Amino acid sequence: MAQPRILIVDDEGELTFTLAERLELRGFRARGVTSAAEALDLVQRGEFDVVVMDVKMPGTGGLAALRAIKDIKPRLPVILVTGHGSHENAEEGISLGAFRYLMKPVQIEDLVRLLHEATKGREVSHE
Amino acid sequence: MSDGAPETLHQAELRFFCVVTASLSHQINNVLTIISELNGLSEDLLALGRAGEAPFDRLEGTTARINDNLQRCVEYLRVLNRFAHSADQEKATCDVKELVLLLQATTRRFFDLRKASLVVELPERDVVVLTQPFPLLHLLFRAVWAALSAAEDKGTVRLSLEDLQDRISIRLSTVGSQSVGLPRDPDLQTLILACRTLGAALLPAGEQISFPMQILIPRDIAHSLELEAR
Repeated sequence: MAQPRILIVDDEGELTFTLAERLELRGFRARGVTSAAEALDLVQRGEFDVVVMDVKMPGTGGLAALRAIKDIKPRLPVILVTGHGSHENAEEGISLGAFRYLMKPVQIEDLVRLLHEATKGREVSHE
Repeated sequence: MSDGAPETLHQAELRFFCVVTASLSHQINNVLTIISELNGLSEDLLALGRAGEAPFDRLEGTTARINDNLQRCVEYLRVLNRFAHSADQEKATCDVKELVLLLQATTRRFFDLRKASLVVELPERDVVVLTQPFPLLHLLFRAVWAALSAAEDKGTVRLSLEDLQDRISIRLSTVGSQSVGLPRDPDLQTLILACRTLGAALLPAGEQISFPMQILIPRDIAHSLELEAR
């Protein structure tokens, strides 16, 4: 079975890359980027099965990026990650079509469970 | 910075304190989240080691990354602590250069969020004044905040400090729009109130915040306010 491909988007590069390493150790193919612009470019190319994205980012924030992703790939699951005090933004994200949201600090087991849920029944059709 | 309603100076200073502490605590939380994640990665790598594949290089690298982030966290806490202590004394002799550097550290995140930068030009020698440190920080913050609002995204705000004989000059300029806010802007009213408390002058005087802006701060607040009272 092909490994699900996960795109992690957070302006804190260190967090993004660490999370990607941890997911790789759990059998996912993960890539981290630090801006919504980079994420949208990769989503456009159709290289990912799930997007994990921070709500609060400089420039194009997570909610604006979520809207753009849903325009490009309406069925691509997006898991939002939010810090303390941004709960309302995450709820708004759900109403915009986000798959779920997680509060920071993210527990890796919770994220892995959601990633499995998000990819369950979906055809992960790549090499 | 205000939501449109006029504020008293006390309300404005309280709001300033809250905004800065919220921002710094957010940064500390972010770094702690990274440290937590790196710690999780160390555990993952140790588990691999127990299974027979000991990834010593990666473990070493992860430990170094934890250390770097601990240093970041310590720096944020140092800034937060210095900021909190700026309200200890009503009047004190202080170096404006240090206050400007503290201001730069406390506002960094707001600039990062706009992908903008605050460039600070300081004289070589210390710029010592007798003033009210916390109200002075508040005044500088207000001015820098207005400049950031006026600047374009990814723009630059330039702050230059100059030691004149009896006064200290702080000039603020910004790349982008030259004015911000509405005539009789509530933020401008607060800026004027903050200047008055310190016996400082705001130039240009007008009904709108505009850039370049100059703030002239008396070297000795006690002397300045005494002259003003006569």
